[in-house]
Amino acid sequence: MDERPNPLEERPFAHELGDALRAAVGQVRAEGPPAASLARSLERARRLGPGRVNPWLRYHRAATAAAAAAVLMLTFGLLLICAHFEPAAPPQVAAPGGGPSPGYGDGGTETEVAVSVDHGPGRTHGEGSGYSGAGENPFVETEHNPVSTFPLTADTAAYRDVRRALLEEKRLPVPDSVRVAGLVNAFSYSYPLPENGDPVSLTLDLAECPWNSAHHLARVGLRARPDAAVEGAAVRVAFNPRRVAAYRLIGYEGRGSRQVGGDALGPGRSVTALYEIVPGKSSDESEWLTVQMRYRNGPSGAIRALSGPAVRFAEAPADFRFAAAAAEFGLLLRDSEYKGRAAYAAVRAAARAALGADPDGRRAEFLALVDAADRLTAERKLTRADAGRQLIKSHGFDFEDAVDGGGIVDDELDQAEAVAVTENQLHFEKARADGITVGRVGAEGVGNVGDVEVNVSPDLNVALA
Amino acid sequence: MATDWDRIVREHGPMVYGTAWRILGRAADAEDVVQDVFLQVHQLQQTHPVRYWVALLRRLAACRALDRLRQRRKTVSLDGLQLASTVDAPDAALLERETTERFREAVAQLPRREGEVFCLRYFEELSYQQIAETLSITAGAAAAALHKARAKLEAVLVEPVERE
Repeated sequence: MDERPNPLEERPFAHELGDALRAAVGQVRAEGPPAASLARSLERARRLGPGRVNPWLRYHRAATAAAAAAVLMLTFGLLLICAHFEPAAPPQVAAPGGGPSPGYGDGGTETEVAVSVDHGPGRTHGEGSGYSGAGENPFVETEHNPVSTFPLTADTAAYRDVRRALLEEKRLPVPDSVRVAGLVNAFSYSYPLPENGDPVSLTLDLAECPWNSAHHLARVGLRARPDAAVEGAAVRVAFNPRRVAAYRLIGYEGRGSRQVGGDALGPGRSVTALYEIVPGKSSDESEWLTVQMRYRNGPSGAIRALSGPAVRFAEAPADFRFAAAAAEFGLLLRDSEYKGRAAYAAVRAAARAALGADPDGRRAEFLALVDAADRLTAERKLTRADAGRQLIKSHGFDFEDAVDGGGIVDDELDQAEAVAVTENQLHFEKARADGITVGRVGAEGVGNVGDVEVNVSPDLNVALA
Repeated sequence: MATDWDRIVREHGPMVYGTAWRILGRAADAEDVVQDVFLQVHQLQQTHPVRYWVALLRRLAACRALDRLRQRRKTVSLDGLQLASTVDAPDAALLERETTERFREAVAQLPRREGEVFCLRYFEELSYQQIAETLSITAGAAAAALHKARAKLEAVLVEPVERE
């Protein structure tokens, strides 16, 4: 039945048995208990006991694990929030009295460019190899932390990795491996050259956020002069607390708002950063934010302000729309908690309408990536639903009372898998036309239910990849 | 107490099921055994305080499962033979399944004590000491029963075809 190599060759006491007997015992031990039947048995046994049966107790282990994970996440989240509200170094940027003026928070020296806030496990600046599942930058309350910055080095491997996964390996990239800012910066945008002897030009605009209509999207575009590299440069973005309730630097997972000592910008190079903005409630018409370039070996650049109402997304410049589409694509691939109502169809439409001249053909290729991701996601959803249906159909096991609502959704399948965690082993089941094959994954490992990969973490949390 | 019962089922239920499952190899049978075992224990604990839950539950699981295996032999063996003979070209998996069935049948034919000791040793992988504690016998008695069980099963498995 089970064609996998038998791990039971070296059982304790196996040496006491002759060949035939050892094989027979190995066969008996190789068949793991069917999870649904086990769960059913436990539930019935529990009902023998006195008192009301709490349906949640049926899934006690799973529920306990989930609760523990939730508590951990909550604690971690609170720690992050605390880190925000109590920056290690006093922010030299806060505008006392809240009187915003162009350049509120101005007055730092070149070495104290930004508030140092590390958003979780950082990853190195290294391009390409490896990733550590660095967390996304969260929304930051402007009142507590008005100043942000972003690295001027673009992660050029990000696009290549996504492209390889989708077009060559025909699979969705690992969500945590997707670097959204890298995707945005994989395309060239037509920012103006700097003028008046400035080393870097600034382009600022604001439009509706395409994946969250209550939010705005701000673009900060930089372009270095074409003749010489710009060394020791840093950008400083100061949000106006009267207009911006909170903001989120999109992408730069684990790198955002980190202390930036000064990056080098190659000749003519451009950098694009996008901020998702939660507008404040006031009817103030002052600027949304100001941006200033600072240089280690020279005077700071002029302070530029972004003001005026946010335009409708369709009315934003084509480059803005394309950059937003690339970001939205990244949020979808990451399955970001901030993806809002992002959708591949919207990404495709926005990108197609913003192709422009596309001299290197890369924007057209982007459309192919979106199509591939859309297709692969649809296929995966189908496979998960099918696996769930098979599990339920093959055992007549009712998972619906374990989760809110009906229907076969990922969570429900997770729950079904979690039920099967017993004695430090995950028992998963694969239904086939000719019967049921029962497989087994150890406390930590990877297995398959149908075409769905099942990952078991050391703490027995079950995830479908 | 309700919570205690829940905890006992949660902690030991998978073991009870696993023991029954390995002896019986059929989900429906294993479920019945789990039900029997816990019902029996639930009644028992109301009159006798249970000190060693694991031993009690494991012993009952093995005994009840072996009982059921013996019953099954009486009731379904003819069907089983017919089923096997109608298959033209059994594949490897089916053959394996048949071998396992025959093996279980042989275990069912063992004297009660020998069957229990054999299952606890090789299916549940208990030490002699654990077997002795589970069945309330001495380790020496467990070893002796095990020796006899092995010899009988080896004999059956080596020449299975002659058993028509």
